[in-house]
Amino acid sequence: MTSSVLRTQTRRLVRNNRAAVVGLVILILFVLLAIFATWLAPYPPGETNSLDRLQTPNPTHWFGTDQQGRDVLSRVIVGTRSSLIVGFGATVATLIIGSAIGLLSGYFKTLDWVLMRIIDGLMAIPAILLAIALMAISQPSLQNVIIAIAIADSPRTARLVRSIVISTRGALYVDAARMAGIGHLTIMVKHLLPGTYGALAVKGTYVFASAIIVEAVLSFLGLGLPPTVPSWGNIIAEGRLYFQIYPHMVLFPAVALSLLVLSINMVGDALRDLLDPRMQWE
Amino acid sequence: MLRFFLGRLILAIPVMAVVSLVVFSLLYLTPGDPAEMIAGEFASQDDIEALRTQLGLDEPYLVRFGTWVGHVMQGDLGVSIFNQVPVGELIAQRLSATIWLATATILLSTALAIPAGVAAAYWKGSKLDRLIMTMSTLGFSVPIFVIGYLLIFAFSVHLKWFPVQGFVPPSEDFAKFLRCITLPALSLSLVFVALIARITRASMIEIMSGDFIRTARAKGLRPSRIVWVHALRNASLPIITTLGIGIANLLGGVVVTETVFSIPGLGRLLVESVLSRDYPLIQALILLFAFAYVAINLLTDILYMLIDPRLRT
Repeated sequence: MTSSVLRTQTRRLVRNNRAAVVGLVILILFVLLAIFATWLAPYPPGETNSLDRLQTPNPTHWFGTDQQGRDVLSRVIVGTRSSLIVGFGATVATLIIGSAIGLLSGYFKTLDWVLMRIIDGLMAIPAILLAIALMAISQPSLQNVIIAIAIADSPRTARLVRSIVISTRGALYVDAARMAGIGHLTIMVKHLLPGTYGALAVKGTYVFASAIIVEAVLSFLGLGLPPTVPSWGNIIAEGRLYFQIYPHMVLFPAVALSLLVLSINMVGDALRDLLDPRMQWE
Repeated sequence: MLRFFLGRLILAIPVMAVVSLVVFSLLYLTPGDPAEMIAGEFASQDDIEALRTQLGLDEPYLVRFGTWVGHVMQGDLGVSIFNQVPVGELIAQRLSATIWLATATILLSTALAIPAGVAAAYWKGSKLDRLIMTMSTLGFSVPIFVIGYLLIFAFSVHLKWFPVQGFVPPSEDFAKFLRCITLPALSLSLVFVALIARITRASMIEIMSGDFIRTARAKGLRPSRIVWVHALRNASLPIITTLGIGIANLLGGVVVTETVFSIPGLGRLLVESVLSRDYPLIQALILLFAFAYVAINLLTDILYMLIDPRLRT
Protein backbone atom coordinates (compact mmCIF):
# COMPACT_ATOMS: atom_id res chain seq x y z
CA MET A 1 0.00 0.00 0.00
CA THR A 2 1.54 3.32 -1.00
CA SER A 3 1.58 6.12 1.52
CA SER A 4 -0.85 8.35 -0.40
CA VAL A 5 -3.44 5.58 -0.49
CA LEU A 6 -2.87 5.03 3.19
CA ARG A 7 -3.27 8.73 3.84
CA THR A 8 -6.55 8.89 1.92
CA GLN A 9 -7.75 5.82 3.73
CA THR A 10 -6.78 7.25 7.07
CA ARG A 11 -8.57 10.50 6.28
CA ARG A 12 -11.70 8.60 5.30
CA LEU A 13 -11.40 6.49 8.42
CA VAL A 14 -11.20 9.55 10.63
CA ARG A 15 -14.18 11.12 8.91
CA ASN A 16 -16.31 8.00 9.00
CA ASN A 17 -15.24 6.93 12.40
CA ARG A 18 -15.42 9.75 14.88
CA ALA A 19 -15.91 7.21 17.67
CA ALA A 20 -12.48 5.74 17.01
CA VAL A 21 -10.81 9.14 17.15
CA VAL A 22 -12.56 9.91 20.43
CA GLY A 23 -11.46 6.50 21.72
CA LEU A 24 -7.87 7.08 20.69
CA VAL A 25 -7.78 10.50 22.34
CA ILE A 26 -9.17 9.08 25.61
CA LEU A 27 -6.71 6.20 25.47
CA ILE A 28 -3.75 8.56 24.95
CA LEU A 29 -4.95 10.70 27.86
CA PHE A 30 -5.02 7.61 30.08
CA VAL A 31 -1.50 6.63 28.99
CA LEU A 32 -0.24 10.15 29.77
CA LEU A 33 -2.05 9.99 33.11
CA ALA A 34 -0.25 6.73 33.90
CA ILE A 35 3.19 8.03 32.86
CA PHE A 36 2.91 11.28 34.84
CA ALA A 37 0.77 9.78 37.63
CA THR A 38 3.06 10.72 40.51
CA TRP A 39 3.29 14.35 39.32
CA LEU A 40 -0.40 14.69 38.54
CA ALA A 41 -1.76 13.11 41.72
CA PRO A 42 -2.50 15.92 44.20
CA TYR A 43 -1.57 13.72 47.19
CA PRO A 44 0.67 10.65 47.64
CA PRO A 45 -1.71 7.72 46.98
CA GLY A 46 -0.76 5.89 50.17
CA GLU A 47 -0.86 8.90 52.51
CA THR A 48 -3.37 8.25 55.29
CA ASN A 49 -4.99 11.01 57.29
CA SER A 50 -7.19 10.01 60.20
CA LEU A 51 -8.84 13.44 60.39
CA ASP A 52 -10.04 13.39 56.77
CA ARG A 53 -11.65 9.92 56.70
CA LEU A 54 -14.61 9.13 54.42
CA GLN A 55 -15.13 12.57 52.94
CA THR A 56 -17.56 13.00 50.08
CA PRO A 57 -16.21 14.86 47.02
CA ASN A 58 -15.24 18.45 47.89
CA PRO A 59 -12.85 21.17 46.60
CA THR A 60 -9.79 19.80 48.46
CA HIS A 61 -10.51 16.16 47.63
CA TRP A 62 -12.28 16.13 44.26
CA PHE A 63 -13.13 12.42 44.47
CA GLY A 64 -13.45 12.39 48.28
CA THR A 65 -11.37 10.27 50.64
CA ASP A 66 -11.51 6.63 51.75
CA GLN A 67 -11.81 4.96 55.16
CA GLN A 68 -8.16 5.72 55.93
CA GLY A 69 -8.35 9.32 54.75
CA ARG A 70 -6.48 8.62 51.52
CA ASP A 71 -7.30 10.84 48.54
CA VAL A 72 -9.43 8.81 46.08
CA LEU A 73 -8.50 10.99 43.07
CA SER A 74 -4.78 10.35 43.66
CA ARG A 75 -5.40 6.64 44.07
CA VAL A 76 -7.45 6.49 40.88
CA ILE A 77 -4.74 8.37 38.96
CA VAL A 78 -1.95 6.11 40.21
CA GLY A 79 -4.23 3.07 39.71
CA THR A 80 -4.20 3.83 35.97
CA ARG A 81 -0.63 2.54 36.01
CA SER A 82 -1.53 -0.91 37.36
CA SER A 83 -4.31 -1.31 34.83
CA LEU A 84 -2.19 -0.29 31.86
CA ILE A 85 0.88 -2.26 32.95
CA VAL A 86 -1.14 -5.44 33.50
CA GLY A 87 -3.12 -4.84 30.30
CA PHE A 88 0.00 -4.26 28.23
CA GLY A 89 2.04 -7.06 29.80
CA ALA A 90 -0.76 -9.58 29.50
CA THR A 91 -1.44 -8.60 25.89
CA VAL A 92 2.19 -9.00 24.84
CA ALA A 93 2.47 -12.33 26.67
CA THR A 94 -0.85 -13.58 25.24
CA LEU A 95 0.11 -12.66 21.68
CA ILE A 96 3.52 -14.34 22.01
CA ILE A 97 2.22 -17.56 23.61
CA GLY A 98 -0.85 -17.63 21.36
CA SER A 99 1.04 -17.14 18.10
CA ALA A 100 3.72 -19.65 19.06
CA ILE A 101 1.11 -22.35 19.73
CA GLY A 102 -0.95 -21.28 16.72
CA LEU A 103 2.06 -21.39 14.38
CA LEU A 104 3.21 -24.81 15.58
CA SER A 105 -0.29 -26.19 15.44
CA GLY A 106 -1.12 -24.78 12.04
CA TYR A 107 2.19 -25.72 10.47
CA PHE A 108 2.85 -29.21 11.82
CA LYS A 109 -0.14 -31.45 11.21
CA THR A 110 1.24 -34.01 13.65
CA LEU A 111 1.34 -31.54 16.52
CA ASP A 112 -2.01 -30.04 15.60
CA TRP A 113 -4.22 -32.73 17.11
CA VAL A 114 -2.52 -32.77 20.51
CA LEU A 115 -2.20 -29.00 20.78
CA MET A 116 -5.80 -28.43 19.74
CA ARG A 117 -7.14 -30.90 22.31
CA ILE A 118 -5.21 -29.03 25.01
CA ILE A 119 -6.57 -25.74 23.70
CA ASP A 120 -10.12 -27.16 23.64
CA GLY A 121 -9.74 -28.25 27.24
CA LEU A 122 -8.41 -24.87 28.37
CA MET A 123 -11.17 -23.09 26.49
CA ALA A 124 -13.79 -25.15 28.32
CA ILE A 125 -12.77 -23.34 31.50
CA PRO A 126 -14.08 -19.76 31.25
CA ALA A 127 -11.03 -17.44 31.08
CA ILE A 128 -11.81 -15.57 34.26
CA LEU A 129 -12.26 -18.81 36.25
CA LEU A 130 -8.97 -20.16 34.89
CA ALA A 131 -7.27 -16.93 35.94
CA ILE A 132 -8.85 -17.25 39.41
CA ALA A 133 -7.69 -20.86 39.69
CA LEU A 134 -4.15 -19.89 38.65
CA MET A 135 -4.08 -17.11 41.21
CA ALA A 136 -5.05 -19.72 43.82
CA ILE A 137 -1.70 -21.45 43.36
CA SER A 138 0.44 -18.32 43.26
CA GLN A 139 1.06 -15.26 45.39
CA PRO A 140 -0.74 -12.02 44.52
CA SER A 141 1.72 -9.93 42.51
CA LEU A 142 1.83 -7.92 39.31
CA GLN A 143 3.87 -10.56 37.54
CA ASN A 144 1.60 -13.46 38.56
CA VAL A 145 -1.54 -11.58 37.55
CA ILE A 146 -0.03 -10.97 34.11
CA ILE A 147 0.94 -14.64 33.75
CA ALA A 148 -2.48 -15.88 34.90
CA ILE A 149 -4.32 -13.62 32.45
CA ALA A 150 -1.96 -14.54 29.61
CA ILE A 151 -2.45 -18.28 30.14
CA ALA A 152 -6.21 -17.84 30.35
CA ASP A 153 -6.40 -15.65 27.23
CA SER A 154 -3.90 -17.27 24.86
CA PRO A 155 -5.97 -20.30 23.71
CA ARG A 156 -8.27 -18.01 21.69
CA THR A 157 -5.31 -16.25 20.10
CA ALA A 158 -3.75 -19.62 19.28
CA ARG A 159 -6.97 -20.64 17.52
CA LEU A 160 -6.97 -17.44 15.47
CA VAL A 161 -3.32 -17.76 14.38
CA ARG A 162 -3.78 -21.44 13.59
CA SER A 163 -6.73 -20.77 11.31
CA ILE A 164 -4.77 -18.15 9.35
CA VAL A 165 -1.67 -20.35 9.12
CA ILE A 166 -3.72 -23.27 7.83
CA SER A 167 -5.12 -21.09 5.07
CA THR A 168 -1.70 -19.76 4.05
CA ARG A 169 0.59 -22.75 4.51
CA GLY A 170 -0.47 -24.20 1.16
CA ALA A 171 0.37 -20.99 -0.70
CA LEU A 172 2.83 -21.10 -3.55
CA TYR A 173 5.38 -18.85 -1.85
CA VAL A 174 5.49 -21.19 1.13
CA ASP A 175 6.11 -24.18 -1.15
CA ALA A 176 8.78 -22.17 -2.95
CA ALA A 177 10.48 -21.32 0.33
CA ARG A 178 10.42 -24.95 1.38
CA MET A 179 11.88 -26.08 -1.94
CA ALA A 180 14.60 -23.48 -1.61
CA GLY A 181 15.64 -25.42 1.46
CA ILE A 182 14.56 -22.90 4.05
CA GLY A 183 14.10 -24.34 7.52
CA HIS A 184 10.73 -24.81 9.20
CA LEU A 185 11.38 -22.18 11.84
CA THR A 186 12.31 -19.52 9.28
CA ILE A 187 9.25 -20.34 7.18
CA MET A 188 7.01 -20.05 10.20
CA VAL A 189 8.47 -16.81 11.51
CA LYS A 190 9.42 -15.04 8.26
CA HIS A 191 6.71 -16.24 5.89
CA LEU A 192 3.67 -17.33 7.86
CA LEU A 193 3.71 -15.10 10.92
CA PRO A 194 3.56 -11.78 8.98
CA GLY A 195 0.26 -12.91 7.48
CA THR A 196 -1.28 -12.88 10.94
CA TYR A 197 -0.15 -9.37 11.96
CA GLY A 198 -3.37 -7.63 10.92
CA ALA A 199 -5.60 -10.07 12.77
CA LEU A 200 -3.23 -10.08 15.74
CA ALA A 201 -3.33 -6.29 16.01
CA VAL A 202 -7.11 -6.39 16.14
CA LYS A 203 -7.12 -9.32 18.55
CA GLY A 204 -4.51 -7.55 20.65
CA THR A 205 -6.75 -4.56 21.35
CA TYR A 206 -9.57 -6.82 22.52
CA VAL A 207 -7.15 -8.84 24.67
CA PHE A 208 -5.89 -5.54 26.10
CA ALA A 209 -9.42 -4.51 27.05
CA SER A 210 -10.31 -7.88 28.53
CA ALA A 211 -7.02 -8.14 30.46
CA ILE A 212 -7.74 -4.80 32.12
CA ILE A 213 -11.20 -6.02 33.11
CA VAL A 214 -9.86 -9.34 34.40
CA GLU A 215 -7.19 -7.59 36.49
CA ALA A 216 -9.85 -5.33 38.00
CA VAL A 217 -12.10 -8.32 38.69
CA LEU A 218 -9.26 -10.35 40.29
CA SER A 219 -8.24 -7.42 42.49
CA PHE A 220 -11.89 -6.72 43.32
CA LEU A 221 -12.28 -10.32 44.51
CA GLY A 222 -9.10 -10.00 46.57
CA LEU A 223 -7.17 -12.39 44.31
CA GLY A 224 -5.24 -9.99 42.13
CA LEU A 225 -2.71 -7.34 43.01
CA PRO A 226 -1.65 -7.05 46.68
CA PRO A 227 -3.97 -4.68 48.60
CA THR A 228 -1.08 -2.25 49.10
CA VAL A 229 -0.97 -1.50 45.37
CA PRO A 230 -3.45 1.20 44.39
CA SER A 231 -5.33 -0.43 41.51
CA TRP A 232 -8.90 0.30 40.46
CA GLY A 233 -10.03 -3.19 41.46
CA ASN A 234 -8.46 -2.78 44.91
CA ILE A 235 -10.02 0.65 45.45
CA ILE A 236 -13.45 -0.75 44.49
CA ALA A 237 -12.94 -3.78 46.77
CA GLU A 238 -12.24 -1.51 49.75
CA GLY A 239 -15.08 0.82 48.86
CA ARG A 240 -17.51 -2.11 48.72
CA LEU A 241 -18.01 -2.08 52.49
CA TYR A 242 -18.94 1.61 52.57
CA PHE A 243 -20.82 1.66 49.28
CA GLN A 244 -24.30 2.45 50.53
CA ILE A 245 -23.27 5.58 52.39
CA TYR A 246 -20.10 6.60 50.51
CA PRO A 247 -20.58 5.43 46.91
CA HIS A 248 -17.82 7.72 45.59
CA MET A 249 -15.11 5.20 46.55
CA VAL A 250 -16.62 2.69 44.14
CA LEU A 251 -18.10 4.94 41.47
CA PHE A 252 -15.00 6.97 40.50
CA PRO A 253 -12.64 4.04 39.84
CA ALA A 254 -15.54 2.16 38.22
CA VAL A 255 -16.18 4.99 35.78
CA ALA A 256 -12.44 5.29 35.03
CA LEU A 257 -12.29 1.56 34.32
CA SER A 258 -15.33 1.63 32.03
CA LEU A 259 -14.05 4.67 30.17
CA LEU A 260 -10.63 3.11 29.54
CA VAL A 261 -12.13 -0.19 28.34
CA LEU A 262 -14.66 1.64 26.18
CA SER A 263 -11.92 3.72 24.54
CA ILE A 264 -9.85 0.61 23.77
CA ASN A 265 -12.87 -1.14 22.28
CA MET A 266 -13.62 1.87 20.08
CA VAL A 267 -10.05 1.87 18.77
CA GLY A 268 -10.25 -1.90 18.28
CA ASP A 269 -13.43 -1.65 16.22
CA ALA A 270 -11.82 0.92 13.91
CA LEU A 271 -8.65 -1.16 13.62
CA ARG A 272 -10.75 -4.14 12.65
CA ASP A 273 -12.50 -2.17 9.91
CA LEU A 274 -9.13 -0.95 8.61
CA LEU A 275 -6.99 -4.07 8.82
CA ASP A 276 -9.27 -7.01 8.70
CA PRO A 277 -12.65 -6.32 7.16
CA ARG A 278 -13.39 -10.02 6.83
CA MET A 279 -12.94 -10.84 10.48
CA GLN A 280 -16.26 -11.74 11.96
CA TRP A 281 -17.49 -9.87 14.96
CA GLU A 282 -16.93 -12.08 17.98
CA MET B 1 -30.04 -38.14 15.34
CA LEU B 2 -28.74 -40.62 17.88
CA ARG B 3 -25.51 -41.02 15.94
CA PHE B 4 -25.02 -37.27 15.83
CA PHE B 5 -25.62 -37.04 19.54
CA LEU B 6 -23.19 -39.85 20.31
CA GLY B 7 -20.58 -38.27 18.03
CA ARG B 8 -20.80 -35.01 19.93
CA LEU B 9 -20.65 -36.86 23.22
CA ILE B 10 -17.46 -38.63 22.16
CA LEU B 11 -15.90 -35.30 21.13
CA ALA B 12 -16.56 -34.00 24.62
CA ILE B 13 -14.50 -36.78 26.23
CA PRO B 14 -10.99 -35.52 25.33
CA VAL B 15 -12.04 -32.01 26.34
CA MET B 16 -13.10 -33.17 29.79
CA ALA B 17 -9.95 -35.30 30.06
CA VAL B 18 -7.75 -32.25 29.45
CA VAL B 19 -9.87 -30.18 31.83
CA SER B 20 -9.47 -32.73 34.60
CA LEU B 21 -5.72 -32.96 33.96
CA VAL B 22 -5.45 -29.16 34.25
CA VAL B 23 -7.63 -29.09 37.35
CA PHE B 24 -5.72 -31.93 38.97
CA SER B 25 -2.37 -30.33 38.18
CA LEU B 26 -3.49 -27.22 40.06
CA LEU B 27 -3.08 -29.08 43.33
CA TYR B 28 0.11 -30.72 42.11
CA LEU B 29 1.68 -27.35 41.26
CA THR B 30 0.67 -25.80 44.55
CA PRO B 31 3.57 -24.52 46.56
CA GLY B 32 3.72 -26.18 49.97
CA ASP B 33 2.79 -29.63 51.19
CA PRO B 34 -0.94 -30.45 51.07
CA ALA B 35 -0.53 -33.06 53.83
CA GLU B 36 0.94 -30.45 56.16
CA MET B 37 -1.89 -28.09 55.30
CA ILE B 38 -4.63 -30.65 55.90
CA ALA B 39 -3.08 -31.90 59.14
CA GLY B 40 -2.97 -28.38 60.56
CA GLU B 41 -0.19 -26.60 62.40
CA PHE B 42 -0.28 -28.73 65.57
CA ALA B 43 0.26 -32.09 63.86
CA SER B 44 3.42 -34.08 64.57
CA GLN B 45 5.77 -35.19 61.80
CA ASP B 46 4.47 -38.78 62.14
CA ASP B 47 0.88 -37.66 61.73
CA ILE B 48 1.80 -35.80 58.57
CA GLU B 49 3.63 -38.85 57.21
CA ALA B 50 0.63 -41.07 58.01
CA LEU B 51 -1.74 -38.62 56.34
CA ARG B 52 0.50 -38.43 53.30
CA THR B 53 0.36 -42.21 52.88
CA GLN B 54 -3.37 -42.24 53.59
CA LEU B 55 -4.05 -39.57 50.97
CA GLY B 56 -1.71 -41.29 48.53
CA LEU B 57 0.43 -38.18 48.21
CA ASP B 58 3.61 -40.27 48.06
CA GLU B 59 2.46 -41.97 44.86
CA PRO B 60 3.71 -40.86 41.45
CA TYR B 61 1.81 -38.13 39.53
CA LEU B 62 -0.04 -40.37 37.07
CA VAL B 63 -1.12 -42.84 39.75
CA ARG B 64 -2.50 -40.00 41.82
CA PHE B 65 -4.26 -38.56 38.79
CA GLY B 66 -5.82 -41.97 38.06
CA THR B 67 -7.02 -42.38 41.64
CA TRP B 68 -8.44 -38.87 41.67
CA VAL B 69 -10.34 -39.38 38.39
CA GLY B 70 -11.67 -42.68 39.73
CA HIS B 71 -13.00 -40.95 42.84
CA VAL B 72 -14.51 -38.07 40.87
CA MET B 73 -16.28 -40.52 38.52
CA GLN B 74 -17.91 -42.09 41.55
CA GLY B 75 -19.03 -38.68 42.72
CA ASP B 76 -16.43 -38.43 45.45
CA LEU B 77 -14.94 -34.95 45.13
CA GLY B 78 -12.90 -35.09 48.32
CA VAL B 79 -13.18 -33.30 51.63
CA SER B 80 -12.84 -29.58 52.15
CA ILE B 81 -9.59 -28.71 53.94
CA PHE B 82 -11.09 -25.65 55.51
CA ASN B 83 -14.19 -27.06 57.23
CA GLN B 84 -13.74 -30.84 56.94
CA VAL B 85 -17.09 -31.31 55.14
CA PRO B 86 -17.38 -33.37 51.92
CA VAL B 87 -16.99 -31.00 48.97
CA GLY B 88 -20.13 -32.43 47.37
CA GLU B 89 -22.23 -31.29 50.34
CA LEU B 90 -20.84 -27.75 50.21
CA ILE B 91 -21.58 -27.55 46.50
CA ALA B 92 -25.11 -28.93 46.94
CA GLN B 93 -25.87 -26.19 49.48
CA ARG B 94 -24.84 -23.45 47.09
CA LEU B 95 -25.95 -24.90 43.76
CA SER B 96 -29.55 -23.68 43.67
CA ALA B 97 -28.77 -19.96 44.09
CA THR B 98 -26.42 -20.04 41.10
CA ILE B 99 -28.85 -22.02 38.95
CA TRP B 100 -31.63 -19.53 39.69
CA LEU B 101 -29.35 -16.62 38.90
CA ALA B 102 -28.22 -18.20 35.62
CA THR B 103 -31.78 -19.10 34.59
CA ALA B 104 -33.09 -15.63 35.37
CA THR B 105 -30.19 -14.10 33.44
CA ILE B 106 -30.70 -16.23 30.34
CA LEU B 107 -34.47 -15.56 30.32
CA LEU B 108 -34.00 -11.84 30.88
CA SER B 109 -31.25 -11.40 28.30
CA THR B 110 -33.11 -13.37 25.62
CA ALA B 111 -36.25 -11.35 26.30
CA LEU B 112 -34.31 -8.09 25.98
CA ALA B 113 -31.81 -8.91 23.26
CA ILE B 114 -33.83 -10.67 20.56
CA PRO B 115 -36.52 -7.97 20.22
CA ALA B 116 -33.78 -5.31 20.33
CA GLY B 117 -31.75 -7.07 17.63
CA VAL B 118 -34.82 -7.66 15.46
CA ALA B 119 -35.91 -4.03 15.81
CA ALA B 120 -32.41 -2.80 14.97
CA ALA B 121 -32.38 -4.99 11.86
CA TYR B 122 -35.91 -4.05 10.78
CA TRP B 123 -35.26 -0.32 11.07
CA LYS B 124 -31.64 -0.61 9.92
CA GLY B 125 -29.80 2.73 9.89
CA SER B 126 -32.44 4.52 11.93
CA LYS B 127 -31.87 6.36 15.18
CA LEU B 128 -33.27 3.37 17.06
CA ASP B 129 -30.76 1.07 15.36
CA ARG B 130 -27.88 3.36 16.28
CA LEU B 131 -29.12 3.66 19.85
CA ILE B 132 -29.37 -0.12 20.25
CA MET B 133 -25.91 -0.66 18.76
CA THR B 134 -24.35 2.05 20.95
CA MET B 135 -25.94 0.47 24.00
CA SER B 136 -24.49 -2.87 22.98
CA THR B 137 -20.94 -1.43 22.68
CA LEU B 138 -21.43 0.03 26.14
CA GLY B 139 -22.63 -3.33 27.42
CA PHE B 140 -19.34 -4.81 26.29
CA SER B 141 -17.14 -2.19 27.84
CA VAL B 142 -18.71 -1.69 31.24
CA PRO B 143 -17.59 -4.54 33.51
CA ILE B 144 -20.28 -6.49 35.35
CA PHE B 145 -19.40 -5.24 38.81
CA VAL B 146 -19.54 -1.65 37.65
CA ILE B 147 -23.02 -2.21 36.21
CA GLY B 148 -23.98 -4.01 39.41
CA TYR B 149 -22.93 -1.14 41.64
CA LEU B 150 -24.55 1.46 39.39
CA LEU B 151 -27.82 -0.49 39.51
CA ILE B 152 -27.64 -0.85 43.30
CA PHE B 153 -26.86 2.84 43.61
CA ALA B 154 -29.78 3.92 41.42
CA PHE B 155 -32.50 1.38 42.23
CA SER B 156 -31.72 0.15 45.73
CA VAL B 157 -30.00 2.99 47.59
CA HIS B 158 -31.84 5.89 45.93
CA LEU B 159 -35.18 4.64 44.69
CA LYS B 160 -35.38 1.77 47.22
CA TRP B 161 -37.26 -0.42 44.70
CA PHE B 162 -35.08 -3.45 45.33
CA PRO B 163 -33.15 -4.82 48.30
CA VAL B 164 -29.45 -3.89 48.23
CA GLN B 165 -28.11 -7.41 48.58
CA GLY B 166 -29.02 -10.94 49.52
CA PHE B 167 -30.97 -13.86 48.15
CA VAL B 168 -34.25 -15.59 48.99
CA PRO B 169 -34.96 -18.98 47.38
CA PRO B 170 -38.17 -19.02 45.29
CA SER B 171 -39.58 -21.92 47.30
CA GLU B 172 -39.54 -19.73 50.39
CA ASP B 173 -41.11 -16.55 49.05
CA PHE B 174 -41.49 -16.10 45.32
CA ALA B 175 -42.21 -12.36 45.41
CA LYS B 176 -39.11 -11.72 47.50
CA PHE B 177 -37.08 -13.97 45.22
CA LEU B 178 -38.07 -11.86 42.21
CA ARG B 179 -37.13 -8.66 44.00
CA CYS B 180 -33.75 -10.09 44.99
CA ILE B 181 -32.86 -11.62 41.64
CA THR B 182 -33.85 -8.76 39.31
CA LEU B 183 -30.81 -6.52 39.71
CA PRO B 184 -28.19 -9.32 39.75
CA ALA B 185 -29.75 -10.92 36.69
CA LEU B 186 -29.93 -7.55 34.94
CA SER B 187 -26.28 -6.70 35.57
CA LEU B 188 -25.14 -10.17 34.56
CA SER B 189 -27.27 -10.10 31.42
CA LEU B 190 -25.96 -6.86 29.91
CA VAL B 191 -22.86 -8.40 28.28
CA PHE B 192 -25.07 -11.18 27.08
CA VAL B 193 -27.68 -8.78 25.72
CA ALA B 194 -24.96 -6.88 23.86
CA LEU B 195 -23.64 -10.07 22.31
CA ILE B 196 -27.00 -11.56 21.31
CA ALA B 197 -28.49 -8.28 20.09
CA ARG B 198 -25.57 -7.75 17.70
CA ILE B 199 -25.69 -11.26 16.31
CA THR B 200 -29.48 -11.15 16.01
CA ARG B 201 -29.23 -7.89 14.08
CA ALA B 202 -26.52 -9.14 11.73
CA SER B 203 -28.26 -12.43 11.13
CA MET B 204 -31.68 -10.84 10.59
CA ILE B 205 -30.33 -8.29 8.11
CA GLU B 206 -28.85 -11.10 6.06
CA ILE B 207 -32.01 -13.23 6.17
CA MET B 208 -34.39 -10.35 5.46
CA SER B 209 -32.81 -9.86 2.04
CA GLY B 210 -33.58 -13.46 1.10
CA ASP B 211 -35.92 -14.44 -1.75
CA PHE B 212 -38.28 -16.34 0.51
CA ILE B 213 -38.92 -13.18 2.51
CA ARG B 214 -39.84 -11.36 -0.70
CA THR B 215 -42.19 -14.23 -1.54
CA ALA B 216 -43.78 -14.04 1.88
CA ARG B 217 -44.28 -10.31 1.42
CA ALA B 218 -45.66 -10.77 -2.07
CA LYS B 219 -48.28 -13.20 -0.91
CA GLY B 220 -49.48 -10.61 1.58
CA LEU B 221 -48.36 -11.95 4.92
CA ARG B 222 -48.43 -9.53 7.81
CA PRO B 223 -44.95 -7.98 8.43
CA SER B 224 -44.98 -9.17 12.04
CA ARG B 225 -45.51 -12.76 10.93
CA ILE B 226 -42.73 -12.48 8.34
CA VAL B 227 -40.29 -11.11 10.88
CA TRP B 228 -41.06 -13.27 13.89
CA VAL B 229 -41.90 -16.56 12.21
CA HIS B 230 -40.24 -16.69 8.79
CA ALA B 231 -37.12 -14.62 9.33
CA LEU B 232 -36.30 -15.21 12.97
CA ARG B 233 -36.45 -18.97 12.68
CA ASN B 234 -33.97 -18.88 9.82
CA ALA B 235 -31.81 -16.33 11.57
CA SER B 236 -31.68 -18.31 14.77
CA LEU B 237 -28.70 -20.60 14.07
CA PRO B 238 -25.99 -18.00 14.67
CA ILE B 239 -28.01 -16.69 17.60
CA ILE B 240 -27.93 -20.11 19.26
CA THR B 241 -24.18 -20.48 18.63
CA THR B 242 -23.67 -17.13 20.28
CA LEU B 243 -25.83 -18.17 23.21
CA GLY B 244 -23.47 -21.12 23.69
CA ILE B 245 -20.39 -18.88 23.53
CA GLY B 246 -22.03 -16.38 25.86
CA ILE B 247 -22.53 -19.07 28.48
CA ALA B 248 -18.78 -18.98 29.12
CA ASN B 249 -19.06 -15.27 29.90
CA LEU B 250 -22.05 -16.01 32.06
CA LEU B 251 -20.25 -18.67 34.12
CA GLY B 252 -17.34 -16.30 34.72
CA GLY B 253 -19.66 -13.40 35.47
CA VAL B 254 -21.50 -15.40 38.12
CA VAL B 255 -18.46 -15.12 40.40
CA VAL B 256 -18.46 -11.34 40.23
CA THR B 257 -22.23 -10.86 40.40
CA GLU B 258 -22.58 -13.11 43.42
CA THR B 259 -19.87 -11.13 45.20
CA VAL B 260 -21.44 -7.75 44.41
CA PHE B 261 -24.94 -8.83 45.46
CA SER B 262 -23.92 -11.21 48.29
CA ILE B 263 -25.66 -14.20 46.75
CA PRO B 264 -24.63 -17.47 48.44
CA GLY B 265 -23.92 -19.37 45.22
CA LEU B 266 -21.11 -21.36 43.64
CA GLY B 267 -19.28 -18.28 42.41
CA ARG B 268 -19.02 -16.90 45.91
CA LEU B 269 -17.98 -20.34 47.13
CA LEU B 270 -15.15 -20.36 44.57
CA VAL B 271 -13.83 -17.01 45.79
CA GLU B 272 -14.06 -18.16 49.41
CA SER B 273 -12.26 -21.39 48.57
CA VAL B 274 -9.45 -19.55 46.77
CA LEU B 275 -9.04 -17.08 49.63
CA SER B 276 -8.77 -19.94 52.13
CA ARG B 277 -6.65 -22.03 49.70
CA ASP B 278 -9.12 -24.93 49.98
CA TYR B 279 -7.73 -26.89 47.04
CA PRO B 280 -10.15 -29.85 46.87
CA LEU B 281 -13.02 -27.37 46.78
CA ILE B 282 -11.31 -25.20 44.12
CA GLN B 283 -10.71 -28.27 41.97
CA ALA B 284 -14.28 -29.49 42.28
CA LEU B 285 -15.74 -26.09 41.44
CA ILE B 286 -13.56 -25.46 38.38
CA LEU B 287 -14.34 -28.98 37.18
CA LEU B 288 -18.04 -28.36 37.68
CA PHE B 289 -17.99 -25.04 35.82
CA ALA B 290 -16.08 -26.59 32.91
CA PHE B 291 -18.47 -29.53 32.87
CA ALA B 292 -21.42 -27.14 32.76
CA TYR B 293 -19.79 -25.32 29.85
CA VAL B 294 -19.22 -28.52 27.87
CA ALA B 295 -22.73 -29.78 28.61
CA ILE B 296 -24.31 -26.50 27.52
CA ASN B 297 -22.35 -26.54 24.28
CA LEU B 298 -23.53 -30.08 23.66
CA LEU B 299 -27.06 -28.87 24.24
CA THR B 300 -26.73 -25.99 21.77
CA ASP B 301 -25.50 -28.47 19.16
CA ILE B 302 -28.63 -30.54 19.69
CA LEU B 303 -30.85 -27.45 19.59
CA TYR B 304 -29.20 -26.60 16.29
CA MET B 305 -30.45 -29.81 14.80
CA LEU B 306 -33.95 -29.45 16.14
CA ILE B 307 -34.20 -26.04 14.50
CA ASP B 308 -32.46 -26.76 11.21
CA PRO B 309 -33.83 -29.90 9.55
CA ARG B 310 -30.98 -29.83 7.00
CA LEU B 311 -28.55 -30.93 9.71
CA ARG B 312 -30.66 -33.87 10.77
CA THR B 313 -29.60 -36.31 8.05
